Amino acid sequence: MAKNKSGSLDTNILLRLIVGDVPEQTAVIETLLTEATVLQVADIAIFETVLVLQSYYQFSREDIYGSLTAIVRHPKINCNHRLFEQAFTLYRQYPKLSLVDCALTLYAELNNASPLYTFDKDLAKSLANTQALS
Amino acid sequence: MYQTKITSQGTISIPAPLRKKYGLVSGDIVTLEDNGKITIQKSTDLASVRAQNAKYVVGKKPFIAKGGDGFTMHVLEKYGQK
Repeated sequence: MAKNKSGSLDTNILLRLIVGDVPEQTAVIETLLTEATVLQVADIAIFETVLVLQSYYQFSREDIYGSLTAIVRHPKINCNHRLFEQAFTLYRQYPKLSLVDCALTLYAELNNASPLYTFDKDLAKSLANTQALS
Repeated sequence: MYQTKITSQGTISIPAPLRKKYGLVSGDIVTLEDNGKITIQKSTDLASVRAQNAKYVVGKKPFIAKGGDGFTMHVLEKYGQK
């Protein structure tokens, strides 16, 4: 494999990096991470990874936080840091909120498009920059 | 609040109390984030993340996501199947 590669990572790559349940694939990805200069991860791959960890592997919220912040902070991985650093902090802080709830509120804030209108009263009660519609 | 001087090569030292507080040792990799100010965060080794997560793998086949079925599975679990 050529060194100084770049490219993007999909959901399965993130799952194998976090869960390690296909060791030979994890080894291939670790080699890629070593040799690459930077690898992109799209927002949607992070969301799908969290949903699989939560629904299929039954990860605790704390372990999802720990695993995904390790991905987001990895020196070779480039993603929407500004969104996810804050989103995972909120996700850890508010057990009733999903990562999607936290991220939608932050998308609104980061795009100067607050408040986030919602019918979800838990969300509106928990986070500033949200407004419940009745 | 701590102050540290930038050398001519652009390197800085992290003060000892902060290294101790955040468990930073020689050889650790940190991430610098540009978010209007510079934030330094300790990077976590992914092998230790996997070791921590090994308990979730027992008795489960690897999940291979295809065509967004990570989303589908979650939606069916949360909202039920018609």
